[in-house]
Amino acid sequence: MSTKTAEFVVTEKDLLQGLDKATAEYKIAALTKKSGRVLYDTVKNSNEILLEYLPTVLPPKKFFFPQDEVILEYTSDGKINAKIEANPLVLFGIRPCDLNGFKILYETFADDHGDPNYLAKVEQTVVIGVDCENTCDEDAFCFKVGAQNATQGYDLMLYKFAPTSYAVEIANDKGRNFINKYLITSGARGDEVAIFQAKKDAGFKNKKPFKNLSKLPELFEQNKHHPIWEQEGDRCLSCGSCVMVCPTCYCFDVTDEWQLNLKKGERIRKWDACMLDHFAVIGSGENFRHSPTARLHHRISRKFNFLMKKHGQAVCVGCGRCVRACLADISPKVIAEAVGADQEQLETI
Amino acid sequence: MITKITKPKVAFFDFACCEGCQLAAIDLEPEQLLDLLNLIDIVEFREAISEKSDSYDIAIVEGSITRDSDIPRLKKIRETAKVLITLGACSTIVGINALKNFQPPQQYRREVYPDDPNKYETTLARAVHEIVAVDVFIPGCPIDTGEFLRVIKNLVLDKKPDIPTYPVCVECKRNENICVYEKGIQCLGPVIRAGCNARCPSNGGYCYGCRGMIPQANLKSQQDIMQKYDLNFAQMREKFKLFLERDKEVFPDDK
Repeated sequence: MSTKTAEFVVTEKDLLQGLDKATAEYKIAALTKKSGRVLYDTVKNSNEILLEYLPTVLPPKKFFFPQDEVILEYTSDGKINAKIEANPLVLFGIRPCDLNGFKILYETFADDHGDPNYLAKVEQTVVIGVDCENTCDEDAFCFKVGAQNATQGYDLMLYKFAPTSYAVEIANDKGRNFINKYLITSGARGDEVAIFQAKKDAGFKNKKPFKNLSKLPELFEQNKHHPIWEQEGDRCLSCGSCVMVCPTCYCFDVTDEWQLNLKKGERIRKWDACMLDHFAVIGSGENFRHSPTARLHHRISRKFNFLMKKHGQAVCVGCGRCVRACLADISPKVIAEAVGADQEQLETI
Repeated sequence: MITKITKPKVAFFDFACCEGCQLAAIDLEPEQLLDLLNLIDIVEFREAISEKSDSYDIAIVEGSITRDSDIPRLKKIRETAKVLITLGACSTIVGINALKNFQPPQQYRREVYPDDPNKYETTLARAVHEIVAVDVFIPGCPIDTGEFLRVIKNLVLDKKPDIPTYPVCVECKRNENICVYEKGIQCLGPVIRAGCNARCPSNGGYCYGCRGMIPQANLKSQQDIMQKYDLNFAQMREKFKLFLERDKEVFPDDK
């Protein structure tokens, strides 16, 4: 964090006016309130934007990886059209947990041949991050998994160092072009990020990462049969809520939908969830992960073991959404602690 | 590419029900109705046409079996049809018709026909699958028209109809609903089959359970979460009564 610098400073007023100007070119999506719900959604005017963060049900990944997405159109006489829908978008006010989520999802979808739909949407989007001074509520545990700070996943990052002023860190040319075109800024003195950081350090003073954060993959490897799995798995409703609200889950199902006249059809990908009973059912009817315990072990191990090794960071970003959504109070943090994430002396490693 | 479509002969039948699901099945725009009629050949449908037929490929059955005299008629339908589909809660899980199963026969007879309790034939309300084999279950009270059309398309295209096995919570989350439990209201959503796009919770209500229980529902955990929200399982059983009398996991008895 100490290496971060801001080139510019923008006032809240100029920032919001800039976003309003940008509506000529972009759709603006931000934290807003609609029919009593706080959510990330498109806004027509910056006065609909909530500047203070409140937890949302869904993370902003839905703008890159929507619940349902048409990926192919086809006709009964054999014409097939790949469909990629990506329009200019400003995604404003994304917090470090979700920016870490964006980084992880980008690495996933850019891997190998790349996912053209996901990548096109990222390409068309200007992500404006806003750093947090503190955790958003009791359920968030970003600091436990080192996700309270983001170093990637954004084009611009804002640090609120004074009541109505933000220091602006520019991550790339996309961010720089957006500033040049839409934001009235003034030059930074150089100490703004440090001023913000001092406030953040105070906010997170007693919020430390897992003592064995970097050893989580080994810990989870060694604790495949720990009693915590059944203890938590027995309570699991297999309702899939944890997966639906997760900023780093990306499993999907693909279905073909013909129109009723069977002349045209669409191939649609939609969110799927490894916690659901049907997820690992194969053609013969066999279910590879029949019990909720097996499914819970699989999901949490992806966050802290298999995928953690691939991404070099915990793939749970501690946003707390699954904890809030789980009626049975199952938490990745509790499971990590049970297998020794915060243990002082590790006997086996 | 679609090379060959065989147009199946389809007959609709009803037993004890309001016939609302049959209405929902053809609650279509005029062009859609014509498209549907291009896919299937409807040979019997009391609500829509006068013709009757003894020859059909697909039988679509709405309603519960509430009289012994229904049974030979249902068996005949089963023998004739290659594919039998239940349409809606009454035929799939019985639902509201099974409310009477909670009472002794003389009591509900007297309640409904106080002057002549034995005038009409009526017995335990049962689902179609309790009498004959069912190939496809379309749940819901009423059915979701889109789901009905998907089932028909899949059968015509020789694909397996895809009815969700996951609970309503999935759809509530996709819709970004505030959880009904957070409002202090009991909801059956965590153990009830999705496919309705969480229609009731998304419109200010809660899940009444009309699509029936998911396979492998964790009722023990459901009971625990009731306590967490200061709600009790006895009240929940009352809510289950509306649609789930035939679910012997919830109401274990030998009826």
